[in-house]
Amino acid sequence: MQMPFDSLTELSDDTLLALFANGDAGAARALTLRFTPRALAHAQRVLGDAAEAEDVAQEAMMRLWRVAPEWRSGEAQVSTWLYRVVANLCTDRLRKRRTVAIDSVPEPVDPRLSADASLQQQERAAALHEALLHLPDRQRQAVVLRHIEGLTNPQIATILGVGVEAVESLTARGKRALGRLLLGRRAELGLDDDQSEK
Amino acid sequence: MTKAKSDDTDLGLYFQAAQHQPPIANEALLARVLADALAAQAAHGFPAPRAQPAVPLWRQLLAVLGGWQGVGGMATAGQVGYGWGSARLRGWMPWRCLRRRMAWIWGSLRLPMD
Repeated sequence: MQMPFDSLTELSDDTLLALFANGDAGAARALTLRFTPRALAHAQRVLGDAAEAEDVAQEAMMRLWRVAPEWRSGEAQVSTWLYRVVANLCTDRLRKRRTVAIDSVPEPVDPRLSADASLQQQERAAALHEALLHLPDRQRQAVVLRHIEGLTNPQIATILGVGVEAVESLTARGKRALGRLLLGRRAELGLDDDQSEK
Repeated sequence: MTKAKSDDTDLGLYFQAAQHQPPIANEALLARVLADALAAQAAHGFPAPRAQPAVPLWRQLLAVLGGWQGVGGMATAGQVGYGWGSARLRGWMPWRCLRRRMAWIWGSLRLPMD
């Protein structure tokens, strides 16, 4: 069954995956556009390398295509499953390397912001990404999933294969470490101004 | 307590900045992922979607001109214009020619004409 692409964007993840498994090319396009950016964003924030993140995102999506025919609707969320695959692929890659090219962290610009605000946001995001790369792998994944991707603790627990309490501990320790790492950059990143304005 | 709250606010601003600066999936990556998806479907026995065949130039022109009816109308108008112009060149008054032609048509139909 082929459906117009516009109508596909409204469908649930499970429905799209079922359509994909039935050979619907429109569903393939909709799933690609829905999930590739999320997979890429998480991989890039955890790995700090754009090229590696693209490889991980493509590999994770490939696994989604492979699993689609056997997918059991309602048993798991597609997004949680995909984040788990991305997290595992990132962990594998991080184990293989010890040094990280911090300079490769991308600095995309949000066109909605004014030039000054955009520059400041960009610098803060870059500083955070740089600090994140100093955290242990699990802490980094937990903090990114909780505080940047906006997932819930139970979802993160499923993704990382740990309990909810462990997630809470990972994010708390991660945030403390980030606070220490970013402490010396408050003035440089305009945070003293922000605080005094409040 | 106040310091911890301030640190949390700081971190919140960093996280907010990161949320506003998401890594962008470029067209090339999306194209590669989609190609993988279509290949996976083909591997499961579903044929890859075929590209729409290119529309020949003459069909595109025909569509622009309003299809066969449009082209027919243009051809008729062209013939009438040519006949009218050539009649004037030969010194004929087009309206007389037209009147004669109309009289002949009406006569052949055996209808009264004033």
